Amino acid sequence: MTGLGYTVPAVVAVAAVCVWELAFLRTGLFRRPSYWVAMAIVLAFQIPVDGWLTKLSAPVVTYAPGQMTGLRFPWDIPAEDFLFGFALVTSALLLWERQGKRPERRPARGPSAHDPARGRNAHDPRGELR
Amino acid sequence: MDHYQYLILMGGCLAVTAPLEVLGARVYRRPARLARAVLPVAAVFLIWDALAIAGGVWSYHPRYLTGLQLPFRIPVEELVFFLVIPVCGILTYAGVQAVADRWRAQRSRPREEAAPAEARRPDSGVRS
Repeated sequence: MTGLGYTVPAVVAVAAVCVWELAFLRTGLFRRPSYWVAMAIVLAFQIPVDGWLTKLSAPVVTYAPGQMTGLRFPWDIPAEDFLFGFALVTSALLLWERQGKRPERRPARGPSAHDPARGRNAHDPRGELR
Repeated sequence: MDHYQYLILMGGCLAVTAPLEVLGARVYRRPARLARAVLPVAAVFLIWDALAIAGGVWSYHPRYLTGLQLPFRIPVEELVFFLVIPVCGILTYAGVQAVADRWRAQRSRPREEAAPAEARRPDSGVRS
């Protein structure tokens, strides 16, 4: 693991968030268009904010070169920052969503062939009763 | 002023996302739900931050920080970051939902209701 002190945890964090949702929380967040639209907006704003923090000309945050891939795009933003940001924002959205009750939006009808969890939770597919 | 650079940036994030609350995001108006979403995440990421700082994975330029530190040499700005960014993310998500719900409501509104609104438009008489 030496030399990958940022890359490995960042990849693990993204995987952990996905497993957390798909295997445990099952809020359905990843199936919601609002989530993907919001994440695209968050990404668009991450670039100027993160770009400012990581710009190599006057960095607020400095990374040990041996701990990351060294891929920096756009500007000087380390690629790992996007994984970090995804994990940070998505996990907060999952906790927000888990408590949510949005009765105005109807759940999809009928169990889905590729989602066995849907059938089992058909009475409460969006976790609203939890 | 340089010492407040990181904090000013975080303040900017809050300022830019604040109008979403007015657009119908209703995030700040549900403080308990917001706290239950943001605080556990901030705690986990602060642990990650502490480990990364201790391991020399990343460091902060003292010129751009206030110098206030939490235990484990975590700059106070990092705590602010881990609170502000998830709040901004939730505001964005709830804002998108609010706008989408409004569109849906407008689309499903009966024609009889939509027609008078159209007639009230100041330019409606100009068009042939």
